[in-house]
Amino acid sequence: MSKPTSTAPAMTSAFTEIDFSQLGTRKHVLSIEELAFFGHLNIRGASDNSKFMHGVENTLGVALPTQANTFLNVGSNTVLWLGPNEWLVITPLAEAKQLEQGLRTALSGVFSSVNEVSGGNSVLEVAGDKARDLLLKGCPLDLHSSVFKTGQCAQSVLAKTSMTLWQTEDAPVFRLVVRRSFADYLGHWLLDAAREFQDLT
Amino acid sequence: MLLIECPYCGTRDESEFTYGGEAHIVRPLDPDALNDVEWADYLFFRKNSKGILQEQWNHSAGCRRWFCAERDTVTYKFKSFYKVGERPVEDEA
Repeated sequence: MSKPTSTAPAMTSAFTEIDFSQLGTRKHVLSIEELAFFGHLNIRGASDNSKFMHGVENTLGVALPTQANTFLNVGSNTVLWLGPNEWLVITPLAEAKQLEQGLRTALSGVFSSVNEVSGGNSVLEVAGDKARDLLLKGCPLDLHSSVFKTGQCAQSVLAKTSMTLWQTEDAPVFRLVVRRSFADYLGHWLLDAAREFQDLT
Repeated sequence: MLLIECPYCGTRDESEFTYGGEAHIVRPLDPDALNDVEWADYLFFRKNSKGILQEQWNHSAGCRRWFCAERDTVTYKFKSFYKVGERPVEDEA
Protein backbone atom coordinates (compact mmCIF):
# COMPACT_ATOMS: atom_id res chain seq x y z
CA MET A 1 0.00 0.00 0.00
CA SER A 2 1.44 3.36 -1.01
CA LYS A 3 1.83 6.09 1.51
CA PRO A 4 -0.52 9.03 1.22
CA THR A 5 1.23 12.05 -0.19
CA SER A 6 1.19 15.34 1.62
CA THR A 7 0.54 17.46 -1.46
CA ALA A 8 -2.66 17.34 -3.45
CA PRO A 9 -2.28 16.32 -7.10
CA ALA A 10 -1.90 19.28 -9.41
CA MET A 11 -5.15 20.34 -11.03
CA THR A 12 -5.47 19.70 -14.75
CA SER A 13 -7.79 21.06 -17.37
CA ALA A 14 -11.24 19.47 -17.28
CA PHE A 15 -11.33 19.36 -21.08
CA THR A 16 -8.19 17.32 -21.72
CA GLU A 17 -9.79 15.45 -24.63
CA ILE A 18 -11.37 18.50 -26.22
CA ASP A 19 -9.66 21.09 -28.40
CA PHE A 20 -11.91 24.13 -28.67
CA SER A 21 -9.51 25.66 -31.23
CA GLN A 22 -10.99 23.09 -33.64
CA LEU A 23 -14.35 24.79 -33.38
CA GLY A 24 -13.90 26.09 -36.93
CA THR A 25 -15.93 29.26 -36.37
CA ARG A 26 -14.74 32.81 -36.80
CA LYS A 27 -14.01 34.39 -33.45
CA HIS A 28 -16.69 37.08 -33.67
CA VAL A 29 -19.26 34.45 -34.63
CA LEU A 30 -18.51 32.00 -31.85
CA SER A 31 -15.63 31.18 -29.55
CA ILE A 32 -15.37 28.76 -26.66
CA GLU A 33 -12.54 28.75 -24.20
CA GLU A 34 -11.94 26.93 -20.97
CA LEU A 35 -10.90 29.17 -18.10
CA ALA A 36 -9.29 26.46 -16.02
CA PHE A 37 -7.75 26.81 -12.60
CA PHE A 38 -10.32 28.86 -10.81
CA GLY A 39 -11.11 28.21 -7.20
CA HIS A 40 -14.79 27.68 -6.37
CA LEU A 41 -16.14 28.34 -2.89
CA ASN A 42 -19.69 27.46 -1.97
CA ILE A 43 -21.07 29.62 0.85
CA ARG A 44 -24.29 28.92 2.68
CA GLY A 45 -25.97 30.92 5.41
CA ALA A 46 -29.11 32.90 6.13
CA SER A 47 -29.33 36.26 4.38
CA ASP A 48 -31.30 37.66 7.35
CA ASN A 49 -28.46 36.77 9.73
CA SER A 50 -26.51 40.03 9.99
CA LYS A 51 -23.48 38.31 11.57
CA PHE A 52 -23.25 36.02 8.56
CA MET A 53 -23.76 38.79 5.99
CA HIS A 54 -21.26 41.12 7.70
CA GLY A 55 -18.68 38.37 8.14
CA VAL A 56 -18.75 37.56 4.44
CA GLU A 57 -18.81 41.22 3.44
CA ASN A 58 -15.76 42.03 5.56
CA THR A 59 -13.81 39.18 3.94
CA LEU A 60 -14.94 39.54 0.34
CA GLY A 61 -15.07 43.32 0.38
CA VAL A 62 -18.60 43.34 -0.96
CA ALA A 63 -22.04 42.34 0.31
CA LEU A 64 -23.44 39.06 -0.99
CA PRO A 65 -26.02 39.71 -3.72
CA THR A 66 -29.48 39.00 -2.30
CA GLN A 67 -31.39 39.71 -5.49
CA ALA A 68 -32.25 36.46 -7.25
CA ASN A 69 -30.33 35.52 -10.40
CA THR A 70 -27.65 38.21 -10.09
CA PHE A 71 -23.90 38.21 -9.64
CA LEU A 72 -21.24 40.82 -9.02
CA ASN A 73 -17.52 41.15 -9.59
CA VAL A 74 -15.21 42.42 -6.90
CA GLY A 75 -11.48 42.53 -7.58
CA SER A 76 -10.56 39.20 -9.15
CA ASN A 77 -13.57 37.44 -7.60
CA THR A 78 -17.04 36.75 -8.94
CA VAL A 79 -19.89 36.21 -6.47
CA LEU A 80 -22.92 34.38 -7.86
CA TRP A 81 -26.36 34.07 -6.26
CA LEU A 82 -27.33 30.39 -6.30
CA GLY A 83 -30.34 30.40 -4.00
CA PRO A 84 -31.91 32.33 -1.11
CA ASN A 85 -29.17 31.07 1.23
CA GLU A 86 -26.43 29.90 -1.12
CA TRP A 87 -23.68 31.64 -3.09
CA LEU A 88 -20.71 30.63 -5.23
CA VAL A 89 -17.47 32.60 -5.17
CA ILE A 90 -15.13 32.09 -8.10
CA THR A 91 -11.61 33.19 -7.37
CA PRO A 92 -8.11 32.57 -8.83
CA LEU A 93 -7.04 29.12 -7.66
CA ALA A 94 -3.93 30.47 -5.93
CA GLU A 95 -6.11 32.67 -3.71
CA ALA A 96 -8.83 30.13 -2.95
CA LYS A 97 -7.23 28.58 0.12
CA GLN A 98 -6.57 31.93 1.74
CA LEU A 99 -10.07 33.18 0.98
CA GLU A 100 -11.59 30.00 2.38
CA GLN A 101 -9.58 30.38 5.59
CA GLY A 102 -10.54 34.04 5.81
CA LEU A 103 -14.23 33.23 5.45
CA ARG A 104 -14.04 30.42 7.98
CA THR A 105 -12.35 32.72 10.49
CA ALA A 106 -14.86 35.50 9.89
CA LEU A 107 -17.77 33.07 10.24
CA SER A 108 -16.59 31.08 13.23
CA GLY A 109 -19.51 30.56 15.58
CA VAL A 110 -21.99 31.70 12.91
CA PHE A 111 -24.47 29.16 11.51
CA SER A 112 -23.07 28.83 7.99
CA SER A 113 -20.85 26.71 5.79
CA VAL A 114 -17.93 27.39 3.47
CA ASN A 115 -16.92 24.58 1.13
CA GLU A 116 -14.22 24.51 -1.49
CA VAL A 117 -15.65 22.75 -4.54
CA SER A 118 -12.96 23.68 -7.09
CA GLY A 119 -12.12 20.08 -7.92
CA GLY A 120 -15.57 19.29 -9.29
CA ASN A 121 -16.00 22.28 -11.55
CA SER A 122 -14.51 24.13 -14.45
CA VAL A 123 -15.41 27.37 -16.20
CA LEU A 124 -16.14 27.87 -19.89
CA GLU A 125 -16.39 31.17 -21.69
CA VAL A 126 -18.74 31.20 -24.67
CA ALA A 127 -18.75 34.39 -26.70
CA GLY A 128 -19.77 35.75 -30.07
CA ASP A 129 -22.81 36.61 -32.16
CA LYS A 130 -24.02 33.00 -32.10
CA ALA A 131 -23.25 32.26 -28.45
CA ARG A 132 -26.94 32.57 -27.52
CA ASP A 133 -28.02 30.32 -30.39
CA LEU A 134 -25.48 27.70 -29.37
CA LEU A 135 -26.55 27.64 -25.72
CA LEU A 136 -30.23 27.61 -26.62
CA LYS A 137 -29.77 24.28 -28.38
CA GLY A 138 -29.43 22.61 -25.00
CA CYS A 139 -30.69 25.07 -22.43
CA PRO A 140 -34.31 25.77 -21.43
CA LEU A 141 -33.61 29.31 -20.14
CA ASP A 142 -35.01 32.32 -21.96
CA LEU A 143 -31.73 33.85 -23.13
CA HIS A 144 -33.24 36.60 -25.29
CA SER A 145 -31.27 39.80 -24.79
CA SER A 146 -34.36 41.52 -23.40
CA VAL A 147 -34.73 38.88 -20.68
CA PHE A 148 -31.27 37.57 -19.81
CA LYS A 149 -28.83 40.46 -19.52
CA THR A 150 -25.32 41.31 -18.40
CA GLY A 151 -25.18 40.99 -14.63
CA GLN A 152 -27.62 38.12 -14.47
CA CYS A 153 -26.90 34.51 -13.62
CA ALA A 154 -28.95 31.33 -13.54
CA GLN A 155 -28.56 27.71 -12.64
CA SER A 156 -29.99 25.44 -15.26
CA VAL A 157 -29.03 22.63 -17.59
CA LEU A 158 -27.01 22.54 -20.80
CA ALA A 159 -27.36 19.39 -22.87
CA LYS A 160 -28.90 17.76 -19.77
CA THR A 161 -25.88 18.50 -17.57
CA SER A 162 -26.19 20.97 -14.72
CA MET A 163 -24.51 24.31 -15.14
CA THR A 164 -24.45 27.84 -13.77
CA LEU A 165 -24.55 30.52 -16.42
CA TRP A 166 -23.80 34.21 -16.17
CA GLN A 167 -23.39 36.99 -18.71
CA THR A 168 -20.36 39.24 -18.34
CA GLU A 169 -20.70 41.44 -21.44
CA ASP A 170 -23.42 42.57 -23.82
CA ALA A 171 -21.37 41.34 -26.81
CA PRO A 172 -22.55 38.71 -25.62
CA VAL A 173 -20.01 36.94 -23.45
CA PHE A 174 -21.27 34.13 -21.24
CA ARG A 175 -19.44 32.17 -18.61
CA LEU A 176 -20.53 28.78 -17.39
CA VAL A 177 -19.60 26.69 -14.40
CA VAL A 178 -19.79 23.11 -15.62
CA ARG A 179 -19.24 19.79 -13.92
CA ARG A 180 -15.78 18.34 -14.47
CA SER A 181 -17.21 14.83 -14.63
CA PHE A 182 -19.36 15.80 -17.64
CA ALA A 183 -16.65 17.88 -19.35
CA ASP A 184 -15.75 15.33 -22.00
CA TYR A 185 -19.40 14.73 -22.93
CA LEU A 186 -20.24 18.42 -22.87
CA GLY A 187 -17.15 19.34 -24.89
CA HIS A 188 -18.10 16.92 -27.66
CA TRP A 189 -21.67 18.19 -27.58
CA LEU A 190 -20.50 21.81 -27.91
CA LEU A 191 -18.16 21.03 -30.82
CA ASP A 192 -20.98 19.23 -32.61
CA ALA A 193 -23.57 21.91 -31.85
CA ALA A 194 -21.22 24.61 -33.18
CA ARG A 195 -20.69 22.97 -36.56
CA GLU A 196 -23.54 24.81 -38.25
CA PHE A 197 -21.86 28.14 -37.46
CA GLN A 198 -18.57 27.22 -39.19
CA ASP A 199 -19.50 28.75 -42.54
CA LEU A 200 -20.68 32.07 -41.14
CA THR A 201 -18.47 35.06 -41.77
CA MET B 1 -44.12 21.81 -21.70
CA LEU B 2 -45.13 23.46 -18.45
CA LEU B 3 -43.74 26.75 -17.21
CA ILE B 4 -43.26 26.59 -13.46
CA GLU B 5 -42.67 29.59 -11.24
CA CYS B 6 -40.04 28.92 -8.61
CA PRO B 7 -40.72 31.32 -5.69
CA TYR B 8 -36.97 32.04 -5.56
CA CYS B 9 -35.74 32.02 -9.18
CA GLY B 10 -38.84 32.96 -11.15
CA THR B 11 -40.45 31.24 -14.12
CA ARG B 12 -38.49 28.34 -15.56
CA ASP B 13 -39.02 25.38 -17.80
CA GLU B 14 -40.58 22.19 -16.44
CA SER B 15 -37.41 20.22 -17.24
CA GLU B 16 -35.56 22.01 -14.42
CA PHE B 17 -37.96 20.64 -11.81
CA THR B 18 -38.63 17.40 -9.97
CA TYR B 19 -42.09 16.47 -8.77
CA GLY B 20 -42.51 15.76 -5.07
CA GLY B 21 -46.08 14.50 -4.67
CA GLU B 22 -48.88 15.83 -2.53
CA ALA B 23 -48.03 18.67 -0.13
CA HIS B 24 -48.98 19.39 3.47
CA ILE B 25 -48.81 15.80 4.69
CA VAL B 26 -48.00 16.13 8.37
CA ARG B 27 -45.86 13.49 9.99
CA PRO B 28 -47.65 12.07 13.06
CA LEU B 29 -46.24 13.54 16.28
CA ASP B 30 -46.20 10.17 18.00
CA PRO B 31 -45.67 7.43 15.38
CA ASP B 32 -45.54 4.72 18.05
CA ALA B 33 -49.15 5.43 19.00
CA LEU B 34 -50.40 4.64 15.49
CA ASN B 35 -51.76 1.30 14.38
CA ASP B 36 -50.75 -0.21 11.03
CA VAL B 37 -53.74 1.21 9.21
CA GLU B 38 -53.05 4.76 10.37
CA TRP B 39 -49.32 4.45 9.63
CA ALA B 40 -50.02 3.07 6.14
CA ASP B 41 -52.43 5.93 5.59
CA TYR B 42 -49.69 8.42 6.45
CA LEU B 43 -47.04 6.65 4.34
CA PHE B 44 -48.89 5.55 1.24
CA PHE B 45 -52.40 6.89 0.79
CA ARG B 46 -52.88 10.13 -1.11
CA LYS B 47 -55.91 12.11 -2.19
CA ASN B 48 -55.59 11.46 -5.95
CA SER B 49 -58.03 14.31 -6.38
CA LYS B 50 -59.60 15.33 -9.65
CA GLY B 51 -59.18 19.10 -9.83
CA ILE B 52 -57.00 21.33 -7.67
CA LEU B 53 -54.15 19.50 -5.95
CA GLN B 54 -51.59 21.06 -3.62
CA GLU B 55 -48.25 19.52 -4.42
CA GLN B 56 -44.53 19.79 -3.79
CA TRP B 57 -41.91 20.63 -6.39
CA ASN B 58 -38.14 20.81 -6.23
CA HIS B 59 -36.19 23.19 -8.45
CA SER B 60 -33.59 20.47 -8.88
CA ALA B 61 -31.61 21.98 -11.77
CA GLY B 62 -31.83 25.50 -10.33
CA CYS B 63 -31.68 26.65 -6.73
CA ARG B 64 -32.49 23.13 -5.45
CA ARG B 65 -35.19 24.44 -3.07
CA TRP B 66 -38.53 22.80 -2.36
CA PHE B 67 -41.72 24.78 -2.77
CA CYS B 68 -45.43 24.13 -3.21
CA ALA B 69 -47.87 24.65 -6.04
CA GLU B 70 -51.57 24.31 -6.68
CA ARG B 71 -52.28 22.54 -9.94
CA ASP B 72 -55.43 21.36 -11.62
CA THR B 73 -54.97 17.66 -12.31
CA VAL B 74 -57.48 17.81 -15.15
CA THR B 75 -56.07 20.72 -17.14
CA TYR B 76 -52.51 20.67 -15.71
CA LYS B 77 -52.90 24.41 -15.25
CA PHE B 78 -51.09 25.89 -12.24
CA LYS B 79 -53.16 28.07 -9.94
CA SER B 80 -50.52 29.34 -7.50
CA PHE B 81 -46.97 28.87 -6.25
CA TYR B 82 -45.85 29.39 -2.67
CA LYS B 83 -42.97 28.60 -0.32
CA VAL B 84 -42.82 25.66 2.04
CA GLY B 85 -44.42 26.65 5.34
CA GLU B 86 -46.90 28.95 3.65
CA ARG B 87 -50.46 28.17 2.62
CA PRO B 88 -52.27 29.12 -0.56
CA VAL B 89 -53.94 32.51 -0.30
CA GLU B 90 -57.51 31.16 -0.15
CA ASP B 91 -56.72 29.04 2.92
CA GLU B 92 -55.77 32.06 4.99
CA ALA B 93 -59.24 33.58 4.88
